[in-house]
Amino acid sequence: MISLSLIFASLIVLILLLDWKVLRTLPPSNRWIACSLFVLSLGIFMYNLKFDRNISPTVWVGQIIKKWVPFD
Amino acid sequence: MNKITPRQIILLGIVYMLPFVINGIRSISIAKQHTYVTYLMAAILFMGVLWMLLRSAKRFPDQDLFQSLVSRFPVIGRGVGFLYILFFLYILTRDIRIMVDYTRVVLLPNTPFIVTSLLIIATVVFIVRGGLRTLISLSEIMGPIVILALFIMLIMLFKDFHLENMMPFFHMDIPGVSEGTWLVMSSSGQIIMLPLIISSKDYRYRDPLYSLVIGTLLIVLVVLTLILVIGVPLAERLMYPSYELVREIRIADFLDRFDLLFVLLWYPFILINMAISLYVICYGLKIMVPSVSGKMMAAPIGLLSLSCSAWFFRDTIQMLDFNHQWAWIALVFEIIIPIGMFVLLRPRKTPLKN
Repeated sequence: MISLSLIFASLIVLILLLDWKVLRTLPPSNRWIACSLFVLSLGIFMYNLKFDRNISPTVWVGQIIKKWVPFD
Repeated sequence: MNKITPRQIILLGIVYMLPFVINGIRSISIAKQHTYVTYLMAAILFMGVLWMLLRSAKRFPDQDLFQSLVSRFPVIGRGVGFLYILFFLYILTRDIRIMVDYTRVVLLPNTPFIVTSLLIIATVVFIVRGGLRTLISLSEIMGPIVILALFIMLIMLFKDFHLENMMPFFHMDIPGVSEGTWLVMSSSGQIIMLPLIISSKDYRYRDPLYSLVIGTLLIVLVVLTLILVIGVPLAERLMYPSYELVREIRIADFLDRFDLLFVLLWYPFILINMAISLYVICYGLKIMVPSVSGKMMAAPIGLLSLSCSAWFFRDTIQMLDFNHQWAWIALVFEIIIPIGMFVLLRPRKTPLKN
């Protein structure tokens, strides 16, 4: 799990290094959105690897909608 | 070539409809030998929806639907736009999951999943960074090649057709067919992305409709070939029926690995399809938040969809089962909101002062 997360994190650093030249010239909201999306994806990635019985959104949504599905 | 030609729009729509249907034909276990009817029914339904969307897009000259939503209703329009972004994010996520699974099961069983998925997402991100022009050029190259390959496949398999697989032809199972239509509706409805990203001055009414019709006819062709060659009882139990279909092709006694050739043509097709989803997300984000550069968002959203592709679904079976429930959500985005747009989205009668 640690090694996979490290691969993922190093990839994020790589992308930021490559793009930083362009990102610096753009308005600051770009940097904020990009960085928060990176953190969010790293968080989801680690959460997914860390726990065995995690909650998948589609399972959860599926159980809610199941009542109204015309065919089963 | 600064202007987008009708042919390019038609091919773009076909590329967005065709690939995943070829991979997994969802309704075959329910509609049996009348699976092709389900796709035709879905196409007829979406002809109406697409016409409504095009009608509301044409009211705003020189704008696509995202832009006209934001310019007409700044707050509610942005809300609807974000919902569409989430919708396409789910589609992209599901497609990445399907492709990673497919690559691991069929093509490269020993490669770790992180490598496969990173390679897929990197390609998609680089395509999207090229912009709409790259997407259109790629689909203009790969579209005709894949369509030609489908017809060649049909000709090669012609001697293996078993007409009795289509029997009973006239006894139509109405509940089965309607349930199948429910299942395939969401995939045919993805065609609604055309008016969302292409400015309304670039197409005529009939171009997106042509694209829907041609795409559906190609799908029907594949489905008919599948049922005629493999047969319903076998095809409904296969995870990747079309892949097995190509493996049926055999010329003389020694040329029998046509599946690799077909995958070689079809895999780029899939990548273009995923790139279109990612492009819709980035473009929508750019329109919703004006200061954001869509090009720079490609990599973060690509990575987000990669980690979501592992998180959203418990396993492949659950992903396939979720299609039943997903149709409701797709119904909202592909039918109800377009009807709402058709009714409400009109330019202001009196232009704003200042």
